[in-house]
Amino acid sequence: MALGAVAGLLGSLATMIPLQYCVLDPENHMFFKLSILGGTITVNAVAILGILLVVVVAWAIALALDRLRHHWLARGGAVWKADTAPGTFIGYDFSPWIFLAPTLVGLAVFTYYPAAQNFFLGTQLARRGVEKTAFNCLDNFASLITSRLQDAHYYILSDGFVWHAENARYLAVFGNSVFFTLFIVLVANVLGLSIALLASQKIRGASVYRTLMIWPYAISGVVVGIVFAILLGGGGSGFINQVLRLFGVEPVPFLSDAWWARVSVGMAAAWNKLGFNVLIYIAALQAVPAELMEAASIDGANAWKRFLNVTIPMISPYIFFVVFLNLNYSFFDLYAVIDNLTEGGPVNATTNLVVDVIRVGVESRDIGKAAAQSIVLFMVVVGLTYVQFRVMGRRVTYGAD
Amino acid sequence: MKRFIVLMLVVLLVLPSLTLAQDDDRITIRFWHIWGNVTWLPDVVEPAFEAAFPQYDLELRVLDGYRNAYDLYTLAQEQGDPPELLQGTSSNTQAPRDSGFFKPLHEAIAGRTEINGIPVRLDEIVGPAAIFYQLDGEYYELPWNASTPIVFGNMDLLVEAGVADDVNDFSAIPSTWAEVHEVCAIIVEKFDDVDCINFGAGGWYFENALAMQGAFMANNENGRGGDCVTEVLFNSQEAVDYLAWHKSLEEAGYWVDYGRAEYNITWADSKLALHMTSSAAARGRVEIGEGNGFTVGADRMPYNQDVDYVGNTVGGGMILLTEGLEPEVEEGALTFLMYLLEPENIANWHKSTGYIPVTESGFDYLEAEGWFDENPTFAFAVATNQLTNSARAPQTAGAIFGSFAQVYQMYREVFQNILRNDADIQGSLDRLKAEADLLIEEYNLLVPCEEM
Repeated sequence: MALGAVAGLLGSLATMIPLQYCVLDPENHMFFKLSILGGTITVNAVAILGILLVVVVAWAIALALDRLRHHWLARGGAVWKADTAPGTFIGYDFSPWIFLAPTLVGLAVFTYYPAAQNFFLGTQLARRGVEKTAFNCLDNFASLITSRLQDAHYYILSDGFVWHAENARYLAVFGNSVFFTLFIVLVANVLGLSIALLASQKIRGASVYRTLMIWPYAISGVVVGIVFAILLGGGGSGFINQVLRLFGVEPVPFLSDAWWARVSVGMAAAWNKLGFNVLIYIAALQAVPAELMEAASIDGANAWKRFLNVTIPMISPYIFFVVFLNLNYSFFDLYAVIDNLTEGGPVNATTNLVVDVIRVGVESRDIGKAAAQSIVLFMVVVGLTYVQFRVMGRRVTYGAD
Repeated sequence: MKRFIVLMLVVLLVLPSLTLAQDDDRITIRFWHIWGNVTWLPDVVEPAFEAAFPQYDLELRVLDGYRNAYDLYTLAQEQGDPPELLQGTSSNTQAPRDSGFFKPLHEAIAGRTEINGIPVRLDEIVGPAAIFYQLDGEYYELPWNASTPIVFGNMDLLVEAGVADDVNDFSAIPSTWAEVHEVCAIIVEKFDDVDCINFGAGGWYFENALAMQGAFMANNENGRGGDCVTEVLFNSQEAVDYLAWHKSLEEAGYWVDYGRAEYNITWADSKLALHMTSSAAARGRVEIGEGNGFTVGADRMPYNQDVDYVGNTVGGGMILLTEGLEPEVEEGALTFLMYLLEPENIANWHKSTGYIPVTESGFDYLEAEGWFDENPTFAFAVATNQLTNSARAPQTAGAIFGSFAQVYQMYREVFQNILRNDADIQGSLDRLKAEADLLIEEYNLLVPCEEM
């Protein structure tokens, strides 16, 4: 309780001191309208940003304080205590730090410093090639939710209206990221596991099939994008549309219709990841003890029940691992596929968070706003990872437990 | 074996330094450009320049596009080793001027009439290009690749549709907004599988549409009237009219939006009657026509027949000179720039691409050669005429403000939203203006106007 209060206080201080106690200008288009299934609500961007930021920082501080307290208790009340067991050095042993130093220095210079710099940039009005920067509070973040170039439209079916947000270009981009992630994780895992099941059958030439199925993983995103662009090319020029035309089928607007373009990118990315998933799942299936399966079939479990109640629990650590990697891939690594397949179009329909960071920071040279976007992306991934470990971690069965 | 490998490694390490040691005392002039497909530069210009000026070693490096070039140049500046010359673009004029990376050309020339024996031909720059490239009567960069949008027509298709009398009847190509509708109605009626017109939903046509109707893109006379730009005028009636025309073409099924490179396929297959693009694409258009057995004609960018035609604005780019070079290196870089403006080089640059000859002497050289008479199907002359004929109004000078490149990115988003998602034109342009004004305000905060 007291810990929470301290963390809350420190959290707001830690947030406000680097922000110089600045106050966002409410006149600066700080509201956006969100209408869900017909009803409209006006959302105050300042309030959301403020609360989110304080909560995140307070949470981090509470976590750190908690760690310290445990550490302190474990040490019997001393901040650190020399280990006096026989056979150890007397006094504090610095040798681990010496061995860790090269890695730590590397991390500090190439990861932590740029990351800290990024947080700083997020509060700056900064442009590449212009030396001067200016502090602009949280305007970079606010501009994300208030960019008014485009409304966000999301549809489950092409005419089934789900939600619509006005003045919400970033929300649309965010929605694309979420869509790609769900799509890729679902398709790549369901297909990956199915193929792995088929490929683990003991048939002649199994290793050849396996190699062929794993092969897409070895292809870079750029090539995947180009290959799918050739396959799906719009206006009837793509290979698939040429084939469809032979059968008298109207060309499908794979890349020029917003909905189709999203699916096309999702399919291309899922195909790219499929090989990796198949590889891991084949290994996972081989690790399922044969005696368990045998015991289950003696008990009268059919193939489906064996799969559901033996295979799935036994391979759950692998599923967790693959889902986790696919999720990170979908959020961070789609740039090459998207840039070469749709260039983020039509009208940003396939622009996701990463593509937008590059568009804003590199193409538009607006590095302050790009930094703000990358911080949002960072927070999303941290949040997702946390949720994953908390929720999925519980359902994962490790063999030894 | 081990010893052999070590020996090989030593040799490999030493060899490069030996070749470096053999290097001559020539002054290296590095020019980063984007003309990977123009063989004239490395094949003709480089050896000719080095033969004429043996004290210089010209190093050409091809980069992938304007934006990439400026990005890499910025990196090179940050690392302290920028090239001497950089290809720049007209849609990113002000930011490089503000960056402090480049030396204004007029300062480097410092009133001289010749550099290393080559005359300074800046006073020969043709009118509309001159007002586009100049600021307060001075040149900050070398005017080089300038073009205007023009409409290329597949003349065989137009003849077949009965629009043109013969393949040399270029006047059949529509040159007003209304004529585009009329011609397209005939084309679409006549052919089942031919698209009428394609052009990019991008900023350049929009800018030209405003200039042609005599509208400014931004306040303070496009930022050239003494004060810098503080707001854009993208939501003017002229802007709405242009997009309404574009939208009407889309709704009628006359304008078709192609993906990247697809227009080349449809153009080659004679499935596209009219293609509006840069006059710099002339060589490519015509070569595809020749390769596929149809005649390619060209005419000016269609204008609004209800408003007096004012003029077109050039697009393209310029060459920038790096600031802070050693005097003898700067002299070499300047020599190369002046060399490029020599009539013969201007003429060959024009022939290799389609960019207009930016100097009077270059134009005269081509005319004396009979180039324009021998190449009636080439649209070059059209673009040139369009430029030389157009009134030299301030509206055609193009807007200059530091966040222009950024705003340029937004055009595409907004226009596509109008064309594909049926977004309201006036509302979309109002929002575009609001967003662009915000960017301009931000830029002016970082780079105050008086420092310009």
